[in-house]
Amino acid sequence: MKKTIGNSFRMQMLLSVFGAFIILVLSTTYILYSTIKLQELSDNSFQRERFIKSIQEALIAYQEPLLEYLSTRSSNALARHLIESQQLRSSLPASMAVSRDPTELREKEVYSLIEAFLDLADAAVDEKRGRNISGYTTLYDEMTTLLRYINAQIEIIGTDRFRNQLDRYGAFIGISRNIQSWNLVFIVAISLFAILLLLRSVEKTTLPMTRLSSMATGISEGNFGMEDIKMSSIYEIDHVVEAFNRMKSEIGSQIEEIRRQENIKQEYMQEKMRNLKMEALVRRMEIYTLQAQMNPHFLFNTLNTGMQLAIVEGADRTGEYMEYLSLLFRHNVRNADIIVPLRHEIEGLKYYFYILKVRFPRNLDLSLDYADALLDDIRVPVSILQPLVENCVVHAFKNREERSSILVRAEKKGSLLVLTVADNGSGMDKGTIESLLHPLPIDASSSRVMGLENIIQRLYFFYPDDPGVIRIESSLGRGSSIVISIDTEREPCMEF
Amino acid sequence: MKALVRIGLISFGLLALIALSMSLSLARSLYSQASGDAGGRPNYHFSLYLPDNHNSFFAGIIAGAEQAAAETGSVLSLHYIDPYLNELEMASYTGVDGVVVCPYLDDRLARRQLERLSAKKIPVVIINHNVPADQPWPYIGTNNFDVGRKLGTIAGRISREPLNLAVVYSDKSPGIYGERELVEMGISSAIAGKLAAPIIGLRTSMNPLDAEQMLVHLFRTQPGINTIIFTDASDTLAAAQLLIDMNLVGQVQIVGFGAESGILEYIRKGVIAGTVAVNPERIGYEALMSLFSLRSTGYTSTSIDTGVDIIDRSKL
Repeated sequence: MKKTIGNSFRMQMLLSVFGAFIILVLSTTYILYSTIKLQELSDNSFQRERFIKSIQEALIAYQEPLLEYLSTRSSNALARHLIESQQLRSSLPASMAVSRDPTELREKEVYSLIEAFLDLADAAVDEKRGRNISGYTTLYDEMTTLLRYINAQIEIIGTDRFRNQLDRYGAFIGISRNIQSWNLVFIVAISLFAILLLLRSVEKTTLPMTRLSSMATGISEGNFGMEDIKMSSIYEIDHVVEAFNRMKSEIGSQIEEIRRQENIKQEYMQEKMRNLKMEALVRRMEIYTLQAQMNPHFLFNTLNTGMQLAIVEGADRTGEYMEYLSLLFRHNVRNADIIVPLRHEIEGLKYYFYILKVRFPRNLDLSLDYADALLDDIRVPVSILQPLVENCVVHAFKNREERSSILVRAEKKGSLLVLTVADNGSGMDKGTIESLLHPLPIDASSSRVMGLENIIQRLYFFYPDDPGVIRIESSLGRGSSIVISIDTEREPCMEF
Repeated sequence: MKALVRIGLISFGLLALIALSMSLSLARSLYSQASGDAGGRPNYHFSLYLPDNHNSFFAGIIAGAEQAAAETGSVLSLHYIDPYLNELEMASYTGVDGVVVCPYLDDRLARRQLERLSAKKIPVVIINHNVPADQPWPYIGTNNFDVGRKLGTIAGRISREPLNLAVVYSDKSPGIYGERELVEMGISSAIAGKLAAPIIGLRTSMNPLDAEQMLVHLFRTQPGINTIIFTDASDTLAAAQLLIDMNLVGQVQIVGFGAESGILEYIRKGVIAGTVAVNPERIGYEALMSLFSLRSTGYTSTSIDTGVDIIDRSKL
């Protein structure tokens, strides 16, 4: 908005105050004017009566010098007569318009009669100067008659006017009261109008300031989404409002930017924290591995000693058992890789099967079904089959008298390597399956995750985008099948 | 709050405007009443001089003259000729634009006063009663011979019997009284062979009740009178009531003058045989129109006969 005299704060305030003031002054002036006019109107009716009476008195007074002159021919009387005549003529209305009011018509006639009377008087004076006795005597008689008629007419006018005034007085008073009542209504209404006008101007001026205050409070409470304050058509206020709106908008956008950065930072920190936890977990796992490696070495050496002792003592079957046990330990200890060929897993499983067959020679059937072509081509996470078999031995056949069997199968279906560990054990209910497949987050679970849970967590870790990498098909009393489906075309995720 | 202020502004603003308008309107009507200028400025100021007799005949003349004044945009001031105040004598000094006069004094005096007006170049129109003069003034009114003939016609229709006729003139009808010879000539022409005796002429004054006393005297002194002709409405009404009071209805026939409702009612009842009616409104109207024409153009008709009508039971 461009600053002009009209839209400046000072001018708006001046206009408001003086506007209301001028309205009140004009209203009061009108009331005063109408009251004065009513008084004048009331007085006018008497003024005309006073005037015509004064003319009548002047006319009577006029006769004295005239008669004196006509009687004595005195020059003083003549002078007085001329002065009186002049004064009377000048006091008469120059020309009286024809009116429809009968009284005014009669008044007009009276002024004509008076002029005729003065003309007759002048003629009588002329006759006196010419010593025409009969002339001025006749004229004087005529004047006397005329004067009597004039006086009678003036009396009639007075009576008529008084009667008319009486008739009009009631109407005049009635209308005057009505006028004054309406004037009272007018002054009250216009005063209230002026006050409200002033109030509106003040409100118009202060409303943006009030909204500014309210908005400042809102901003201090962090609410930047409030609607912009509207302009008020007052330059100074609009200037402030515009600046405030701009300030609110800029602060809001900066706060938003800070919040966005803060969110990014928080996400980054959370990611970092997760990585740290993962690293800690990995280190712990490494330590466990080292610990696990240290103990097997001791056991491995001890087992070798035991195996040599069994051979020396001629216990061949014990020696063979200890040899397989030693091979199993060596198999577990020797390779520190995380991802290994399938052959490595199958070999380890064969050693483990031998030991299990020795342990459970009568009631456990173990079957291993695979194609040789798969063994070297496909790589899988290390130690994913043996713990599953061990899990079956430990949990699946508890409290069972019938013969137990475990089948391990490796097959390729399309791009998927499908590893199945099936038993005919007691099976699992759905709750157990759900709890196994949806374990607690790593950081919330026990650090010593072993067996089936360990396998599930590790598979989810290596294949995070494939929730079907492992599934459990089981029901109570009908055995369990744990199926691992690994997409051979995708590399396992190794990044922490 | 904002809406309340807005509503208040509109309400009080409107109220103030209405109050101001009402105040101004009332003040304007009051001022216009006081100034008396309703209807615009009149063109001419005419005066109507009538006998000081407030009967319906003169009221009709006034009404007709006022109507003509309104039509011509003139104003009319009314004067009753007061012999003591010399009203008509003073008319030449009043500065009016024209005068309508109904003369009732003797013709010589009337002529002198009219000549004074003419000397002052004030246009004059005479109504109701003509005044003979060398240069006659325009006359508006009835032809009194015709009036007499119509009166005689009504009297002649009453009966086949010879008429003992009396004619009552009145100061209240100065036009007829001033031309009573003409009136009697008109009566005689209408009932030429039916008169049993010469017509008796009588006269009443301005008193509207003196006809009663005069008739009582007439019936005592002239018991043979069987028909009476009146030339004034007030006298007609007074006579009709007297006939009823004296139980003379049917024995004495009355021929009235004027068309007042009382007279028409007596005609319906058979108390009055008939009446002649002049048209006073037309007289007043034509008089002022003639005066207006005379004032504005300088010319007008020298005479306008406003006509006379007979009213009897057959016309009611």
